[in-house]
Amino acid sequence: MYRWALLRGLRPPEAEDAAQEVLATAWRRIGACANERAFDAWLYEITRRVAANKRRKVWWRRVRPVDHPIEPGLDASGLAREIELAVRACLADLPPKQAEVLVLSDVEGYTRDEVAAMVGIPPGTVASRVRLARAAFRARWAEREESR
Amino acid sequence: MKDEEPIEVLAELRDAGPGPAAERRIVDGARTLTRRRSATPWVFAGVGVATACAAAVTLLWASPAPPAPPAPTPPDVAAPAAPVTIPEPTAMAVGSHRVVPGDGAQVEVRSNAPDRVELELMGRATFAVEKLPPGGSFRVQTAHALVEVVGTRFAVDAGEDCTTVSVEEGRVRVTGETSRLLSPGESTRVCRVEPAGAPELADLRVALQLIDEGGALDEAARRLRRYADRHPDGALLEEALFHLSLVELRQGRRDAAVDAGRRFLGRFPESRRAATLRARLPELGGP
Repeated sequence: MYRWALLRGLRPPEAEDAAQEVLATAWRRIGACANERAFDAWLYEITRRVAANKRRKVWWRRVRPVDHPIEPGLDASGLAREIELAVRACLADLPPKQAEVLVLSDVEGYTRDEVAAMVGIPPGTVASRVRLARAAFRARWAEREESR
Repeated sequence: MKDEEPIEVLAELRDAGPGPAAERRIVDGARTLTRRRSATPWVFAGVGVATACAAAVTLLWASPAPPAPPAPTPPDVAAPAAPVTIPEPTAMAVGSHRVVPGDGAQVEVRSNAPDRVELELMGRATFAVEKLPPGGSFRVQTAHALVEVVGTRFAVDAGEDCTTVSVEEGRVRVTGETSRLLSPGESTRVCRVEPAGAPELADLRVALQLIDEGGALDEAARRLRRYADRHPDGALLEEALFHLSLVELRQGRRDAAVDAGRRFLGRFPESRRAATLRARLPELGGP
């Protein structure tokens, strides 16, 4: 939840708040989860809504861009901070819908059908969106490497 | 990183999550929210699907890779939660650190770089500082003192005439007219003792601000020099001479930079910053 929120453009403190809210909501409304198999999609729906609210609350950042560097927010052995920041910077440049499916499929590792169930679009659309997202991500990555 | 296939790089993030401190804040915060919002208690045990889902919450938390297999214990939301102190409802995030301003307190963020946080405070605030990277700093400037974190959790009350600092965890260095290292349970009070010196302190503050903002470096150097000349025993002389040397160097005035650097090393040979100056100015006897 935290990672997903972070990769969708929230800053670490905002991602923390979002994760808190998702966890609290999940605990309170666990009875609404239809069954174990649908759990991921159910939890993702909560995460998506909470993150969207958070993003709306920081609308001013889109209107008045502030020259703040991206702060590192992930912690894992073997993960270079440089890679985290580069990935987040490239994802931030992608269209939101493309970034969403790319994170779900290539970071989180969900299958095409699972992503389709979570996002609520046909599997074919997921496939084409992932393809476009990968191409766009590669292009951003290459631009970034060239500018280094 | 250049040769890595970018899409493969994405998978490297799969096992990454919030750090332990952030994770604790998330769980504690969620518990607080749950307590606050639950108008009617819901029954956790006895509902098969609910248990399975909650187990998956736990698992997803530890390892988000799908699908979620059966898991051991669901989160204990029914039990009384541990007292939550961080974050408090009014907590403000500065990078990965948390600041809880008291009523009417004014906190100005002067620098929010990952390795260098500088705040200016009027009023009372409590700070929870994450572990700093090597060489990193977290500083709170009040009208009377510069509070520098060496450890982790402390409170600063900056009034009109005095600043009180108390430490709960870790160690904090407080620099007023003199410098003092505080340990847990200790507190100190720094008061205005030299009203006549205020304009010179303002010199130093303005100079550091100019440097931070990439403003007029000539003016910054002039103010730093004036502070250093008028306060040969000033508590912030180390700060002034260090920055003066660097500013002169950036201005291309190498002799003046060396001169300021020598004054710095003469007064503060044990300072951690000495190595920085020596590295930039080999004339000072660099490595």
